[in-house]
Amino acid sequence: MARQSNIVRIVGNDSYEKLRSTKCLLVGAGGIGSELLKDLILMEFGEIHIVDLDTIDLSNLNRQFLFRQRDIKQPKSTTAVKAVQHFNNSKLVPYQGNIMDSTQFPLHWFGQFDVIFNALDNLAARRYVNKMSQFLSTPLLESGTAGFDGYIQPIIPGKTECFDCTKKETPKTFPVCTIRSTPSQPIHCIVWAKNFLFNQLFNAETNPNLNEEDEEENKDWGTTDLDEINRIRQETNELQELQNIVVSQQENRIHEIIEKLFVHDINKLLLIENLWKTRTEPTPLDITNIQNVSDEPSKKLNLSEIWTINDQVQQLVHVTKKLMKRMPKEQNHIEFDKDDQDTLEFVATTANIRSHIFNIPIKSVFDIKQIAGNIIPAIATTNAIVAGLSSLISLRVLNLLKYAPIKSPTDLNMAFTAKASNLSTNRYLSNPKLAPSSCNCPVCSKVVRGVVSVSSTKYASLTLQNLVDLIKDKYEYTDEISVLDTKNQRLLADFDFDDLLNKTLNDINLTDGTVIMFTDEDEDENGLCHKPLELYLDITETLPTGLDIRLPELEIPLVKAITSEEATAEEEEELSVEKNLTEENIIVLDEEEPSTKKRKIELEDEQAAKKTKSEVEDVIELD
Amino acid sequence: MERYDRQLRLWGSHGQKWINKANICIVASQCALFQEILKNLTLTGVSKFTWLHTGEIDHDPLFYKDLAKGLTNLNTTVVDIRAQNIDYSDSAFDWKEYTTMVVVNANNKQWLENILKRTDAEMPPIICTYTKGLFGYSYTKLFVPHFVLESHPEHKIPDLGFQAPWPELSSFMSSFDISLLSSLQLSQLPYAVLLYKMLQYVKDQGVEAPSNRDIKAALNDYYLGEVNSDGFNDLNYLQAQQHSHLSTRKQTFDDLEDAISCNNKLLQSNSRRHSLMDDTFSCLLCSLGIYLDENDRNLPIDPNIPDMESDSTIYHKLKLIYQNKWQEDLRKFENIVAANFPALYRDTNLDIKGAIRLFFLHSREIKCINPNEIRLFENDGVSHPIFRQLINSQFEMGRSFESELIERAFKLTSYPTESYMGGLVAQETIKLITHQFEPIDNAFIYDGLTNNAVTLKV
Repeated sequence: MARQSNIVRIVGNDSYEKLRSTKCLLVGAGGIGSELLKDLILMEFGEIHIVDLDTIDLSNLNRQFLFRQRDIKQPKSTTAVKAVQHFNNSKLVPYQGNIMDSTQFPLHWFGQFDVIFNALDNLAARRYVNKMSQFLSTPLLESGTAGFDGYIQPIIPGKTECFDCTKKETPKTFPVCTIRSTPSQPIHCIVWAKNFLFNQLFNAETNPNLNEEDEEENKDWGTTDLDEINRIRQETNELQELQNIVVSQQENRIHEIIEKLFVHDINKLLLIENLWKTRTEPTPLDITNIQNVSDEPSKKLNLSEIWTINDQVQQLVHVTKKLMKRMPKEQNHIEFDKDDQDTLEFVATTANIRSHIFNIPIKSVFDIKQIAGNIIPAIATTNAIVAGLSSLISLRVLNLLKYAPIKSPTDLNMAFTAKASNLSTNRYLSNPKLAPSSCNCPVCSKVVRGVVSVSSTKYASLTLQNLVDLIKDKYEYTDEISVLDTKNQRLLADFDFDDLLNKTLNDINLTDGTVIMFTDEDEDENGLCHKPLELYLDITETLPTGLDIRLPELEIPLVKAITSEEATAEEEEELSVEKNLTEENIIVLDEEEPSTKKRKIELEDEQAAKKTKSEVEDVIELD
Repeated sequence: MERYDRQLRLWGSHGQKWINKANICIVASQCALFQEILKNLTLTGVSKFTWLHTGEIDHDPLFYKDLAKGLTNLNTTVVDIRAQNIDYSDSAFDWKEYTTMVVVNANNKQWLENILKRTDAEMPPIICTYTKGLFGYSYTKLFVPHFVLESHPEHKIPDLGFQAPWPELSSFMSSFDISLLSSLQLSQLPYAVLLYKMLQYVKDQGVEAPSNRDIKAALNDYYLGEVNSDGFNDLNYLQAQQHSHLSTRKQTFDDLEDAISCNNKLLQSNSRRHSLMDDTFSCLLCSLGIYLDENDRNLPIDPNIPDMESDSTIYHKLKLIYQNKWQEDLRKFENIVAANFPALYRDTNLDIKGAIRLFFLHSREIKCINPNEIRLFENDGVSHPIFRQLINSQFEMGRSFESELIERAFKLTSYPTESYMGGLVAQETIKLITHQFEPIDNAFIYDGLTNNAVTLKV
């Protein structure tokens, strides 16, 4: 066919065969994903697997060109695959699922791909896929956009910087007291309404007492004022009573909720005099505002305009009634969702009334939606640009452009694009060369990574000693080797602990997907030892016949010895960082919040893109 | 508007309105680049196109076999593509009804040269684009100045307006008797107050306009020396240090002045485009000129002052003073528009008050991009080797490649190049339609071999 002969012209005959036998993993079928899928198909990649857990939303349709109005609520991955059939000449395999679900997508599943394209919208998944690519040494093409800004970064494991080598900005958080007693910006009131109040009222699973006590130890109150802390605790308990009103659907008591939140609670705060020495005192809501509420259905209000305080209260009553009615149908559990108009208006009106009380400017529902939903602008053009960059560079990463071979992976470029065609550098696209992976990032540089594949029959009899011996033979480790289960930092063996060596892996709970770390404890005369090795245990039936265990082909460099304590400390540090991220009790300003799905940490893409950008390019920083 | 939520946050509903109203003329064959541009514009909300079909048969990989069907429901209205074969000899073709023209992979040099060399002011901006192998360019030709009304600069320098203080600001500042305040009270003053007081102190010493370098020292002498010797670690003092340059900064708006005088010339000679948008903004720009004449060339105050460490009551008062002043300035401006352009002011077809407000709010961002002489086809017109090569290849004007590598990279087809350039050209079109964000002035060259891109002016 005509198209094929054209492709042959891109890459040449040999490479064309290789291109047709290349298996790609495309993670994400959203903005960049739709564009990438089209580009990869038209470039004639042999096989493309597409993973996405999302369903299609109306606000996707300004850029995700494979979807139409009628596809709303359908899964993105399968809908995308249906939509490309008329021009498709590749084998396409869609999955609806979370890429971080190791049951659906175990490591050996990742292992089938020659290249991975990330077209994701959240930090957690980006980091996860990055880690998988490091284990498997599979090249990864990372990309992201935010409004007119976009970037791509090819990651060649072991050769170039990985995704985690550059620090990503973590979500912004606020001390408890700023949110609960002394807000000074609109965002503080929005966080209060969304993360605190909304959950307390409409999520009957939230037990305030339990939560508070659990977190007591390490809670960042942001204040040492005991009165203030006690007041915050007490207030949380009192909210339980308000939740009961909601659950029992006592519509006639809605005004009590409003009065409690915006009059009584404020009056109690005013009693803590210390708070108001250098701050403007809040003014409790005028009670007539509450009394004036009519039973009439509220007038049609413009979501982009700033409403009067009367309208805010009126609309709050109206929307609280609606939410109350929904409670029994939704198992007394409603979650904030920016695309759920009732929840959005509840958060917007309560945040605005609180702002009004604290002399903070109030905002339109449109603006609050952006803040509460962590909405990042997104347009078709930037996605097309970034997908073009990503798909083109993949040919080079796979060395399919024979006439322009890369001498070293660091000859590859990353790329940043910006509306700022008129940045100081006057470039539309900047393309720094990739940096080698020489940093101290815990993901790619501290350890060597690989996968050990074991057949299930072999696994049944494989002892830890067997495994250690194989490792010593293969990678020339010394006798003094320590073994650690990285999941819980459990020591499995070292020079004076050999109790477990004769047990089978199964006996000591080293199961499929466990990551085992081997550390060389014996330094040579130059003070050097082997770099630690992390192996992912993959129990599989796909080994070639005659082979029951396969260790990865790795070159393990000699490095300056580090003690196991240090190594453990590093690992723990990494873990604790992740822990902090997942258990943040006040989560704010992440990236776009996925509708109705529980995903807790994510980072604003834009910030990530900007952060990396400012590291590689001179952007004028003011003051 | 829910559908466009993610882009409204970039250019607002007023920007979207111009996109929905746009009428785009595309000169192209049925090729990948054409489809990419059309798809991107349709997604963004453009629904009215005229397609002048240039007829050549292309072998590009295409994702829409049936274009009209492919574009169905890609936006909220029915996409109207009027296709007709191009008539290169039709000199009477009415270009002026189009918002923007896009010329894709044209190969009729004579025709393109004639179009680009036209001098009539009614010509819409033209974006010419061409891709070959791993390379592509886009070139924007303007026939009259293009006004960017919201350039959305990455960094905005705050303006405290100390160059022309108004009565409310002065009396607010003099309400603080520095000598009577305790060091605690002093530490709660917003830095704007410290800077204002320092300026007065310097003036009393007989220095009219201290230089930026002197200003830090002056602040030091005044505040630590005369007022509060313990205050060196106070956050408000540190902020005052950091922002001291704001106190004497005379903001200059060459771009805006340039835009106003340009616009006035166009109005006088009447050599300009006539459309609802062009007419509206032309009137507003002219009114802004009058406003500046009447106000000592002081721009309207910036209603959004930066955050400052401060007692919140004081800060709120200060903020209100700026916001009230802005409202007052806005009223003045509205009156000027009403007096000078009564017909526009009474026009009910557009939300004129909203337009005036937005225009005035963003008046500091106004830029003027001037038309450029076309030298694309002259031998010395383009010196960039890849650009030169692309033009030679486009019009088959001989070929001499710099290297065998580049020659090979030229002979390929590469879908990613089409995707990239399709995104870029659509993006530039949107900038021109909305009069927001600065368009590339005027040429852009993409080199997929090195993944490099440059913008340059020809």
